[in-house]
Amino acid sequence: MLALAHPFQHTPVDCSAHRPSPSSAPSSRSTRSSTRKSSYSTHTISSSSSAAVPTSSSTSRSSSREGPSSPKSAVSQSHSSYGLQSSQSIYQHQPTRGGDPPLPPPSGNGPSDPSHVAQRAQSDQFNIHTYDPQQLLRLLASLLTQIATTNDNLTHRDPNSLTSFQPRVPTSPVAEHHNHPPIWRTLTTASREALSSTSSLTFHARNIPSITLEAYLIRILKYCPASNEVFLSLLVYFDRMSKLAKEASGKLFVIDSYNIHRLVIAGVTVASKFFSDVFYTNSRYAKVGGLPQAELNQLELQFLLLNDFRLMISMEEMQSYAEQLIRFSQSNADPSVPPFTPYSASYPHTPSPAGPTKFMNYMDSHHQQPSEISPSYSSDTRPSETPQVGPNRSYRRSTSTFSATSASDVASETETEFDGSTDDEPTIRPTHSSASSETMSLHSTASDADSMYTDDDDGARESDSESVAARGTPGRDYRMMSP
Amino acid sequence: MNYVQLEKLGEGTYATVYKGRSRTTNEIVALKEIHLDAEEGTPSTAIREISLMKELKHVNIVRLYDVIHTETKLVLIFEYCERDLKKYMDAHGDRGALDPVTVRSFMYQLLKGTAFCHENRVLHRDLKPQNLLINRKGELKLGDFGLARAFGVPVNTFSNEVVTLWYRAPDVLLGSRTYSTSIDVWSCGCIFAEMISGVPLFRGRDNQDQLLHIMRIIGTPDDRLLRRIATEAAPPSADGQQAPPAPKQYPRYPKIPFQQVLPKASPQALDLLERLLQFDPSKRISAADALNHPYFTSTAMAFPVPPPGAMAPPNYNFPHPHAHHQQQLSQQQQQQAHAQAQAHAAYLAQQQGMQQGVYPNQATQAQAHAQAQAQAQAQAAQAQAQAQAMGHFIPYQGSVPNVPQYAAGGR
Repeated sequence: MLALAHPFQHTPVDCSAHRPSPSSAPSSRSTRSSTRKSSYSTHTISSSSSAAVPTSSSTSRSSSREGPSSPKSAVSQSHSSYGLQSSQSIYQHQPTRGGDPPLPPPSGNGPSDPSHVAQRAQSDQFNIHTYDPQQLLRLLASLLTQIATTNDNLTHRDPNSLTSFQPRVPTSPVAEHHNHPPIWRTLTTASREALSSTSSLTFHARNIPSITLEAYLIRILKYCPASNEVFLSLLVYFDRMSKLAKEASGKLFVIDSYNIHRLVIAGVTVASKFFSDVFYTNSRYAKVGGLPQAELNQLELQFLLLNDFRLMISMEEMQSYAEQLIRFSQSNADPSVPPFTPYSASYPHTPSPAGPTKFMNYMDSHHQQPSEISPSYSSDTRPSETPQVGPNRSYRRSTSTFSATSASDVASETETEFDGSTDDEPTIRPTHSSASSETMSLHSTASDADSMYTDDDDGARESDSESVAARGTPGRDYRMMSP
Repeated sequence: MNYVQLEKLGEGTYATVYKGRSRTTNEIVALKEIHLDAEEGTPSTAIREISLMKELKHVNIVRLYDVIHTETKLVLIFEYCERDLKKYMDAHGDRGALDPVTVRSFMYQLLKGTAFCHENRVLHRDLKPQNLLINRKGELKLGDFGLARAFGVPVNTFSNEVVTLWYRAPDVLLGSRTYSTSIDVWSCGCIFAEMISGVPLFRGRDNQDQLLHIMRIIGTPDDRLLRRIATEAAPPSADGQQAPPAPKQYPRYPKIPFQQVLPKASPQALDLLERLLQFDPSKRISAADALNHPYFTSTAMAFPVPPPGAMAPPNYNFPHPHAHHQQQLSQQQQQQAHAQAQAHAAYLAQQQGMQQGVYPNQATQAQAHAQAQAQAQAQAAQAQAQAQAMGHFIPYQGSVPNVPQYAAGGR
């Protein structure tokens, strides 16, 4: 769990030990319902106080809680709400027989067969190795986007309390050993320096990238294929980084919409090199990730240092994260679960940034009624059906598989055309090249050198239709195209 | 940097190794400088070496003390070892061949380090004499984890371009990518034979030639086994170049008894070698089981091999002591010889007690204990004499209080 300011955090190990197994989950959930209620009441406060939230959001949320709704009506409801809420409302919620928590559909290609879903629901063991990679990335993107969004609001609300990674003491790390906790002594010199000096700005983009996290992950999978373990390991590493930052230097490491893309590409680069005998050059990862190579090299090293090179993940830990992610996705589809709020019940006035484990635990603990995911959970929804949400929320809509932005749709269409020649070629080409009309732009309105990172500061001007139009228009500085 | 860089020790593909001295403690270390390449970023070899060796703290694995980051490079601070096994054999062997006592000690330490890796779900994948380092105290340590990988997480992206050819297992030569710990065990067997004879056992020119070299000695396996390995290897071989070798006919070589190949070796050594060098990976002994082989545990080794205990298998099962502590230990060795012998005897007894299931022909534990104790005491004197005769080579012996941990078999 990332950047936890409150003392109730579970370490990954703790949660694997204490978590109820899927079969015992329902009973333990009910015992926690009181927690749920109290957190829920605080939720209203937090969301209404959050600056960027449309005022009607809580209304639409409660209407989506009222029961099963068709995708159509969910779309209309979500017009004025978060993408986060719209993602919850699009699922049809049906009780599952036997109370077994269902597994998400195994494949995202086309509408899933409900009977297939039911079959999958019978098996408790989640097989990391054979799970559909695209589906996994959707769950991952949904989780990480919600975390980033939650933390964004937190930062906006109280920018001073969480200016993360500000060195507590200006002196050099070597000079003040005595001030550090015991864990400090176990770290490599390189990591100590990184922890003392690195600001979270290392991973911080100037602007929020316009590509949804889901489209970004799918893109990485397409051009730098890696096993499910590589992608799952991101959650483990994010948790470790935040724990280490907190324990060793008392700093907060906060995932937000500005840094999540860079954390992901740096993490995938590191994890691929560690786990797999097959990996790509950094220049390729940089092109696929849409950032300058020198910068990726830098981020890769920082990622290693902020993990203190602790990259080994036991099978048990990996499995535990995978199962948490699955449970999270089930809770996420459950309308009875109030959205995560950084204000915990016990510490209503201490916002704490969310991290993977914390977020997943939260969702799971509030997920009481197992619900089945509807066939509408598919990726072939056209942009026209995409819920229209407020301006400056496009990145949030990637919380829903269903509501992937038009950017990702444009991307995947373009990519398909290039399938034949994908193997080893650069991913960024100047706009002026002959292929520019088929270029996939991850860049919408801005022209700063950060390629995919758009000028989205006020963001209000970038509505969906504008960005779609912008993508079709040549003449941008940097473009990403399918290799 | 907190270290003075001294002479260059060697140069690898992605790193240069220097001798170094700590400014604060004067301790001698090895500095491995890794150049951060613009194209590759941090080399995967460095990522693996650091992340794996950081967690593998064992006296038979080269210890990574620290990592320092400067502008353009990463510097890995390693425990210093005088030489690698290859150079050691050249310098101290009889035309490369080591004396049986040393072979036994090194083999024990090699298997101990390998077993520790496997226990921690790490495959070394490049065991060879050049990657085994020997320090002044006669400790052998596994080094160079650049090819190593964690195997707990099942990732089917294994390469079969691993391990230096002469030490590469036949199943890997046949294209297997589903190999596991047995790949390292094969290498251990090759190194074992090389220490005994002074020359590498299988010296092929290429993949196929290497297989033929292996078959000429351990015999061509039956078609069923070859087919099984081939089918295991076939599915992921999308690279085309690695054609499934199933249809390929190999000459039918008979097995040559290892005794003919290594006439100097004791029967027990040959029996262990036999178990290490099984063509079928599933029949290969594990490193942990090999440590319980009578070659190490038996107290009755045949003439002309000096009896065991001359080089006591050291107390390796506890966390790596600090370097200063070790120096003290070696100074105390003389006085501790007697106690050492007893400690070793207790260990032997324990081992024999534990492994009765595996080798039922062993004596009872009580007998073994008495026998071992007597023998070991007698051998302690021999050990010292031998060490002095060898001059440079002082056997490592741990301190007595650690014996219970050792016998318990924990980490």
